Amino acid sequence: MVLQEKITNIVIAGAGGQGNLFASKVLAQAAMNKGLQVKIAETYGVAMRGGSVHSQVRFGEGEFGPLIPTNGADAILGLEPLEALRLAVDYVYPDTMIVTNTRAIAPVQGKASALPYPSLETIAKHFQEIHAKDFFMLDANALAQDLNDPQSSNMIMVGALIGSAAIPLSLDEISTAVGVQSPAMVLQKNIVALRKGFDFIQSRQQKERSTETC
Amino acid sequence: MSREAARQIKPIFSDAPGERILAMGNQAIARGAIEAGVQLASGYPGTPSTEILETLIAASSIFGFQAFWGVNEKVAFDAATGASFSGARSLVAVKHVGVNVLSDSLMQVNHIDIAGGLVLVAVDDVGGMSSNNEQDSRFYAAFAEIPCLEPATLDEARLMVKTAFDISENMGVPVMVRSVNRLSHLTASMTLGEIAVVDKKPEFDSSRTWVGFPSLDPHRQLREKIKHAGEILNAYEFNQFDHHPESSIALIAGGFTVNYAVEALKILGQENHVTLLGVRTSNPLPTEMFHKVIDHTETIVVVEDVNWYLESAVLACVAQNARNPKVIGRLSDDLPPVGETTVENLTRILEKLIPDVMPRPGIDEKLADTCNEIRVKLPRRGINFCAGCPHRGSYYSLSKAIRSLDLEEKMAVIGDIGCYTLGIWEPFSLLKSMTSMGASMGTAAAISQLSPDQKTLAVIGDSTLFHAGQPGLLQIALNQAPVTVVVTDNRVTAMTGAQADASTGLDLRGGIDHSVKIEDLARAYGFKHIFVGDAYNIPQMFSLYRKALAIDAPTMVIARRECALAEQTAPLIQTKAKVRANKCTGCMECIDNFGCPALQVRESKSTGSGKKVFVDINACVGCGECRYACPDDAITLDVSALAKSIHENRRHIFSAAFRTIAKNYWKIKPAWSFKKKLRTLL
Ligand code: SF4
Ligand code: SF4
Repeated sequence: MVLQEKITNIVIAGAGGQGNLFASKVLAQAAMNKGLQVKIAETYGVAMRGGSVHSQVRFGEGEFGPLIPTNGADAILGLEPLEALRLAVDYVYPDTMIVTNTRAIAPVQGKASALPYPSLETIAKHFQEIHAKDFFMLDANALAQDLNDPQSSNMIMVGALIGSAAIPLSLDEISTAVGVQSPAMVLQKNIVALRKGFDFIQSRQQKERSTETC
Repeated sequence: MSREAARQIKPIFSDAPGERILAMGNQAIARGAIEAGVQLASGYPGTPSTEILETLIAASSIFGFQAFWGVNEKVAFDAATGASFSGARSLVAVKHVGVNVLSDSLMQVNHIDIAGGLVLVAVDDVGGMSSNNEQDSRFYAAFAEIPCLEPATLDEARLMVKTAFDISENMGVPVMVRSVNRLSHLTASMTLGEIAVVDKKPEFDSSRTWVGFPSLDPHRQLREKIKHAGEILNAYEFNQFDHHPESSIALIAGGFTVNYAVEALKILGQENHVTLLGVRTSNPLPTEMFHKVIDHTETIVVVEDVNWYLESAVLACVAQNARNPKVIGRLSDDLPPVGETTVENLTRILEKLIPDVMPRPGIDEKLADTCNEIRVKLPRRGINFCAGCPHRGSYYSLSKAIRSLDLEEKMAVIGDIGCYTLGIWEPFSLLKSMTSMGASMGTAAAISQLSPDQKTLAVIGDSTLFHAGQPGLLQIALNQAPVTVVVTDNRVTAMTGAQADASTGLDLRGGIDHSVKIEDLARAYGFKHIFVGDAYNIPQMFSLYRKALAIDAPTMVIARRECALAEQTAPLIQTKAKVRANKCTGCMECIDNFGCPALQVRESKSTGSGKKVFVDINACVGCGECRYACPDDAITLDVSALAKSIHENRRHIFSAAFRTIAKNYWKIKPAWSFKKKLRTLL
């Protein structure tokens, strides 16, 4: 089912300080370089004081609004697993791709009555229940640690999203966009991180494909 | 700085007409002002308008104009008026409630034939996502009888702001450009236009008087101006009219909501069948176009954000017209009366109205049910003070002081607007009221006098006190009202991203100018009891509050400490908190009643509650406040992390910031007597 022809809708879910807006700018810049219309909407203000941070990237041809209609995301990029699930239940439709970091940031524990943070297994089970296409979960913080660059988990996740082939942007296009959006001193690091996420998903997909054939 | 150098910093300042860049709506608005040759820009920080002036302040040194944060919106507007009287173009950017503050001046400047173009940008926070209310600024434009433009895209925002200066000069009245949160905070592609070169030097024209009194003639002139404004505005062809005379249904949408209307029609495949009037000139409204729509329709859906400004005008046109189509909108209760317009709401309405339309594809019921079931199981991610926020210390010590005096039941604690407003909710639940900027002062004064048996305390931040709290503070002193005024002085306007205010003491170019000490202000007003403490130093604040609450006269307690958000940019020796696992009893005091986001809980078999606390060192900023929130002294600062950080920052050793911070660290020592007290208060 194609929900809206010629428009790609990406929801980015995270908690404060995860580089959510940078990730959306990189995606938007890449689409803009291709001559497409782009729109990024973000949560802001009071919501940012420790709350969920949520942005939406839309790109495509012709006119469209700033907000992704409910159950209208082509891809959900989770920088944090609970937030990915929170938005997935609002934006999923049977063709949505979900790619999420598994590193949890627990909300500030309120009183004893607060609902418990779901385990990763539970989150994965829920993804299974609601998704129809595919989902990927990876520990981007661990990959970032491998690169000795703890700040890079958001770029790893963007690379993973591209690797999943859920959206019509290539790794090259994204890398060029990163060049426009990053300060020179972190550019190389960002490119390396993108590649890392991309390769990780590609190799995982390959593995799955080979197990399917045998 | 050369313009080429400016370009290197930010594409939004680039002198490259025709170039397409990725920008935010608020930047597009600022760019429009730069292109128009603005000579003075002011405003007061307020989500969602803040970035307009932030961009203009950054631009001011490049392009050589004046830009500064006003002490409040009225001062900002008055400054713009001064610029206009001097023949200079000026812009004021505020959020919707800011229009309330400046409205006193607006309602009188409109009676004067102004010279330099004066543009008021009002950004409405639709849905009140970061505000106390929802409010529709278009009514102010109608009320003040001034032109109002409403852009729907970034390119329109840039162009309309630019054009608004011409219109303002042409007509001799201020012009409002109304934006909404979704436009101001939208990032999208936009095309740059040409930047005007300003060679005219501003000079106050003293050959005439700038007064609107006696007011009847000036008011008559104003009426004439707005009557003819339609002709001027029509020439720009801002309004969009996709006219399909064969259609019995039409949409009339205002400003940014045009986007939702277009998308809803596209989703339903109706974009070439249904008439769409996209209104951009909100005052005066294009009523001839309304009549053209009325002439061929049976149903008109009016789409707009916040109130029923357009809808009532369309109804008025229907009343004058021989035909009588049904008008559907917020007033008719067919669309939700409050909150944002959504594509979902519109498609739902249109599906009912348009015969044989293919409905918007959705998910099946089973999937929807599954989603609902999951949704209710997810823990909330509530809003909270930042890690290292001084307000946490201020409130923690205050709540313990109130409890130690057994005042919990009886106190009236009146709050105000800022980050410290979060004190309404858990874990502190201290504040019982909040209305408008600075209102806590007058409200508390009255309560303390009407109900003298009830201890009254008001909490206000530095920026809010300067903004509109000063008159009320003076009232407390004049009435000798027995209020304990707590000033959470974090030296900036924190909520909107730590802009400088009078407590910071930075002048508009960022150099150190002078800082206003709030205790001096209170002393000048006649406060006899003033206590100043360090918000991080919880034992000290605890005893200051106790002293202050025992006094039956106007009293001030200043909890001073820089906002953690502002401090992130300063070179900082950073240590980290550490929980000594053997000492943590799992009592959850620091989690339930203190609540720093860097303190997290894990399961443990060795404690009574089955839980132990640990520190997320990526989130912790090492403020040290939490040490006082542990009755068992399990939380300490990590000395090795401190040593490492000092080593890493040794090249800043002589910088002022390093020294102040270093000094403050040694000042805070664990206070044993407070811990003992704390144990009795749990
Ligand atoms: S921005 Fe400053 S005042 Fe606001 S919560 Fe964060 S540290 Fe506290
Ligand atoms: S020192 Fe304590 S209160 Fe301060 S940021 Fe770290 S954990 Fe939070």
